[in-house]
Amino acid sequence: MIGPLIKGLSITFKYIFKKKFTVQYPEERRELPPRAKWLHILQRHEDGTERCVACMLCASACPTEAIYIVGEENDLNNPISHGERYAKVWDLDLGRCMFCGYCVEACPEEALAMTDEYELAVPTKKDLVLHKEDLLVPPGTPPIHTWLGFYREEPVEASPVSRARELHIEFEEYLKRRGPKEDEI
Amino acid sequence: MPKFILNGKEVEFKPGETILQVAWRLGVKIPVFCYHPHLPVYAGCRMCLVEVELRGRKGLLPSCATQVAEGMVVNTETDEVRQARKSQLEFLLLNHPLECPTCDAGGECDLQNLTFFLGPAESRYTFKKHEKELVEAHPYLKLYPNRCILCNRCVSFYQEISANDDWGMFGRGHNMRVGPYRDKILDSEFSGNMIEVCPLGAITGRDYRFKSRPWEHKVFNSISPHDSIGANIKVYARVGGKYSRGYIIEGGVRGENHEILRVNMRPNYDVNDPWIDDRTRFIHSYVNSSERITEPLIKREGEFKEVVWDEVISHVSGKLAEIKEKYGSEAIAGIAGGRGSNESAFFFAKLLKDTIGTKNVDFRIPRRDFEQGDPLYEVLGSSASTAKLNDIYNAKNIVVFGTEIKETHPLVGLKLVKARKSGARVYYLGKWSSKAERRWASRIYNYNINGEVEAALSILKIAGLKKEIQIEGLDKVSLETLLELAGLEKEYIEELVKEGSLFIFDDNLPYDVQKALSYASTLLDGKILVLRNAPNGQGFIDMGVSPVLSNGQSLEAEKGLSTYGILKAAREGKIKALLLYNIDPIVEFPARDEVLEAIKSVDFIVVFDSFWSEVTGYADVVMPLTLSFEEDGSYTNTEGRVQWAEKAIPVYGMAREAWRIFASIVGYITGENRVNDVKDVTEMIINSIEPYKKLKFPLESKFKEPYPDNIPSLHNIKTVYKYPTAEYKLRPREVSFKYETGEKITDGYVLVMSYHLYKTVYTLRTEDAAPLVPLKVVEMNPLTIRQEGIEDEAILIGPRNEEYEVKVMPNRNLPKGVVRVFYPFLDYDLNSLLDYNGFGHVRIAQAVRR
Amino acid sequence: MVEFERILLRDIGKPNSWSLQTYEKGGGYKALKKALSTYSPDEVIELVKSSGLRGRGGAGFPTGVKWSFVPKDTDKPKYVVANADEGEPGTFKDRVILEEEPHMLIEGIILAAYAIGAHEGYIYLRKEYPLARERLLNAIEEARKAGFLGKNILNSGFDIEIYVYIGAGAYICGEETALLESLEGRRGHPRKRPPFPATHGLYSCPTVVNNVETLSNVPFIVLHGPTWYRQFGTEKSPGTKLFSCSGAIKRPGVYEIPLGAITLKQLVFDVCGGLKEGHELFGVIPGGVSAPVLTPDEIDVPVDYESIAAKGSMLGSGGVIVLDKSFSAVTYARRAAEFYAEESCGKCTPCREGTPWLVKILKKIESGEGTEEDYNLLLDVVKAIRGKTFCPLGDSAACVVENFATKYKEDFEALLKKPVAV
Repeated sequence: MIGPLIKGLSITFKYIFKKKFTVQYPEERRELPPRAKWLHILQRHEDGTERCVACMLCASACPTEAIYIVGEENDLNNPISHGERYAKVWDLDLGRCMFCGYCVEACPEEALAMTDEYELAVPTKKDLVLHKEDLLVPPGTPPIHTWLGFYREEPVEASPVSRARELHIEFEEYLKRRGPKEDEI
Repeated sequence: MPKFILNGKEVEFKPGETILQVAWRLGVKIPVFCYHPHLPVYAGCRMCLVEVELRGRKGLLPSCATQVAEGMVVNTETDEVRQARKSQLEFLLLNHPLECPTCDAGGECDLQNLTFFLGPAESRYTFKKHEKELVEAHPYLKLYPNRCILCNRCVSFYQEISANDDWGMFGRGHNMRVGPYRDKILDSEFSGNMIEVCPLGAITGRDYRFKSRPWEHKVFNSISPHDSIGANIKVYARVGGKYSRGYIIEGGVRGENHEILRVNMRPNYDVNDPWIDDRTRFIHSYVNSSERITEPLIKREGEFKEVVWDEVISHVSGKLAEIKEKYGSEAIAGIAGGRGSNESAFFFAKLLKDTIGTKNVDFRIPRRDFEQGDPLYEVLGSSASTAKLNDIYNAKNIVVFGTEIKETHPLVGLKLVKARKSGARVYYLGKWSSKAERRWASRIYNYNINGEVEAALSILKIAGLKKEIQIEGLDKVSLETLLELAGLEKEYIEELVKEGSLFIFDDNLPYDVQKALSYASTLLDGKILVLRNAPNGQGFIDMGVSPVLSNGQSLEAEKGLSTYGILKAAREGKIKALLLYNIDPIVEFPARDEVLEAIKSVDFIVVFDSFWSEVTGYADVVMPLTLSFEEDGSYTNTEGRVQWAEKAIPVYGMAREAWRIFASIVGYITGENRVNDVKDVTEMIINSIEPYKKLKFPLESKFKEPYPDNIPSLHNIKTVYKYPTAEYKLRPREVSFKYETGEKITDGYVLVMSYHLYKTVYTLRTEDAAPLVPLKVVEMNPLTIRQEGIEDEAILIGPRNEEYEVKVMPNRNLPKGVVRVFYPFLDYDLNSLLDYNGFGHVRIAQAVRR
Repeated sequence: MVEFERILLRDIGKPNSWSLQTYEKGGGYKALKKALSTYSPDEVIELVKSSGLRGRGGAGFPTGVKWSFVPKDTDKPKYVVANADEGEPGTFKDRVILEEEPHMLIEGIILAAYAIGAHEGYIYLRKEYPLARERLLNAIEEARKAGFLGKNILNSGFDIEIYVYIGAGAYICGEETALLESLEGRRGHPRKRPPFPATHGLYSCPTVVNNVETLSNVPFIVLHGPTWYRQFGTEKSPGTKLFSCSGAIKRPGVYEIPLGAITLKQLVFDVCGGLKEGHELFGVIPGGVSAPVLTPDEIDVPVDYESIAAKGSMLGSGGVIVLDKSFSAVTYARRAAEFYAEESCGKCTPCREGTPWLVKILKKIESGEGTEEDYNLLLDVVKAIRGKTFCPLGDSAACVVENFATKYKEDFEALLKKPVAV
């Protein structure tokens, strides 16, 4: 009888002197991994115009239909985004969102990104619907690059397709350098 | 049947078929860009190349242009063919900007789709792409030449189908581009079709540009509400709540996210083929007009008070019953605008004729001669066209009389172009003629401004002479006198009066003209096609909204008053209650002063309408109606085809369908059960209206064309719709005429009422049409303008020295001394200068510049 | 130097060779008189057919066969069109006929019209020949006065009228269907074939389109008969042919030579006197720019349709261009490609988009920026164009560039950037 007790307590004692796993939220906050997918933001170009061109791919990719967009033609003299269209309405219903990140992947303009902002509780359901004004970052905010360079610090210049090709070529070259593995022959 | 080998299988073909047609029919997918089943073959994109082996020779041939021959061996999926497709896509993408996210066609682009399926993933082109300037040729169209792949589809449509010439190709080689020839608004009233034939997003339409994506909206099958051709359309609407895409909430109220995004054609080979006119395509935002009536209103102590529906129904029912008791049912009259559905017309007629018991119901314009009855019924025993729209293609000899087809029924113009190109003789007789008529007419004759009746009677007289038939009532007047009054030569008329002629005219023409032409057609074993001016004019007649015909096209035992009669009786104080359904007599009828007097002398006016207008101010009760996009219903087009329009967006405010209101009033007065479903009303119509007896619900039937589904620009034309026609009993009989040479206008300027494509009660209610609407405009011959020394603005002075300030636009086609004014008169009250026949006299003075 | 009897060029050098007087003195319009009085239209077609006359415009299609395709029993009017839109670079033979012997062409047109039963003839003349226009119009006026044109010519009951139409300077309008489109007043785009012009040509009516030189041969065939005609030339290519020789040769010009009588080498070195001093032979283009180039080892070939075709080139319009070594093959290919890119009508994708691409790649190679990859891309693009275009223009462009690129590969390789050794 005493045996199992000691066995159990020994585990407890083993952890007493180790680093604690829990944190004292909200006084203490855990550092999130770089790929944390929380609140969305809408990014801007360096010149301050919006990146979003209302292509609606995010809305189409969204499995929960949480995104609602209405496009509008740009005034070419005073454009809001690059290109001829911009999002007049860009709404996100966090009540529906399941933070899968498909929308970010679908975005062809690197306009949409997800941040580590995870404190999203609001008092009413209505406040869960975030509008473009709530999501748009102020001009001059450093960009978050989402195109395959999820881990990268430096900006990605090339288009995703050519970058993918580059990576593919690098990999091929690596394979060549390495030579065939034994079990592959 | 002859046979050939397609992809290793022996298949049959009809002589004359191309490889592409056979392959598509058998489900073999051959990609195309420039080929369009309804356009002439161009064979320029080289996307449809297939390997053909014939008599030992083997090579790549364009399948769209190569006719199948016996013994051919065709392969559509060899490596060489695949490589050829890939290279064409690579070539096309060389200078094509990769801006799919911003491009309007993203998601319904042939190039995007086919590149996805067949194309190279990457371009080997390392040089700079061509940049060409954006072109705005039309207020509704924008052309992005960078995106254009020069497939020639738009040019084929514009030059071959619509027979216009101010849009085409320029330059050659890599400098080639598509565009308008001059800096003017495009001539054609069909330019919007170029958006639909464009395989990618090079041509975009203003209403839809950048608003949405094709997968975002729901599509509803509807019918054009603008004219009586009843072009089949698809309404693309954003529907439903904000976060519940994809379905409509029944009975919901319209919110800011309900929007008609665009209107596209729906192919129906009997009616509109795969084309629609620009008015149908671009003018739809009037459904959100700020002039919409939102609540039922009752005027109390000189002010409108918002009330609930039940209250207004009981108020009106009570009042009508009271007037009927006091003054008899003859003191109640109804005028309709001919714009509602058959269901609404049915209950309008039922309310007035059965429930109240008055025959004073009409929807026609207040011509005095319409008091005599229905001209077509008198001759044919049915008030309907004897020809179908497609009989235009079969006719060898076509006479278009007095109708400005471009302004009122543009789609008939397309059919006439096709008829002329396939060898028919098309004659046009009109007060004047413009470039629009020259597109399809082989001969054009202009009669005198007021020689309409004489011109028609001389046609009849010559037809009678040819057939050696005496026409009663015309023996007193000689042919020469008629021709002189009409201002025509005898040879002209003799040339166009031929056996089996098809006569096309509209139902606003004088009584004698309609009667004479119908009679001439029966003499010549020909046919007539009456173009109803009211969008559902044929339906309204069939439903019995007529003082002479009861529902089902039988004669009323006792004639009621026509529109003219109703207005006259109202002025005399004989009409105590007037129901105005979808019409504002003050701005839509000529002779404004007399109409206004009539309206003022009626005690109780009920206005059923969708928009605020002038007559609503004189109304005692105003009820808001839904528009055709907001209700289900059937519409009968001018040839008698009964077509169904679906509800596309929720109703605006408290508006209700007209049939529901009329049925409620009927129910309130008689105590009958109310009808709640529009389909029940349609069943009632089918059961009780004689020509509609053979119809079956649902009306629509469809079949599929064998176009491959990986080509988005062919999606729209893939499903073809068909609707049944009503069957009218024809009992042609001999008729007599009472012709007297009346007094003719001689001096001063003649004011002539006419129509304009973009000036209707709908276009004036939306900003979208603004650049094309002739607002406060009259047209005159430029010579006259110079003679009078007018610059832009002028003052028209009426016989009582009243002055009207208008803009004067030159129109070379008008005879001198004619001032053309446009219906409806919402922007100027020039209709007070017109008589009931649409003519008037004015003097002109230069406006003083302020 | 070799001398041959001049048939077509018989009046050249005589004073006022373009006048009716000179032409008639040399036997002009005798063929017309003979045909109208003794031959039926079918017999004229038969004469031309048995003479074996082949089209001199480039394709070399038998003329008599072409004429016999014109339907006999049709209510539609028929037309004869003379293709005087001589746009092929290196070709200027028709110009000599048009400017010096316009009556020969007119007689040819009348005979062709008589043969197929046409009453209207058109001469589609390129705008760059103003002198030809003047002399043609004069000649037509002269012919009309002499009763060869108009109603009931030479009391035979046959009516014929000839009109001169001036093109607007597009190379593609030398292609017969594009020419017809242009003649109708539309854009000069080739039409799809079939139907061929012989049944659906001008205004959808049966039409015969022939080169100026071809039509000018007809009077001689009619006058002297096919046997006489066949004494010149070879069995399959009878008759004489005009060669317009240009390039770095001592005596450039138009020469009339019976087909197959001499070799291309003789033509260049004997007839034309060889290359100018200080120039070295690089290659010969035998039939206008569209014909593939022949290297110096390949030019020992008789000048007739079959022999040159056997060498992988074509006799085409007989525009012999002698290239010398002062430029590299890349430059020659680039110049040719530029011409095609400029003259492409823009109707079909491969030609419209492909030819400018060829020019861009060639320019890149020429400037020394090109790599092996560009060279391969060039051949790939050529492959993507060839055999897929609407009309032969794109094919020619691809063919010419490919020829230069494969036959003179060393020239190209010399300009390619060498991959830097790592």
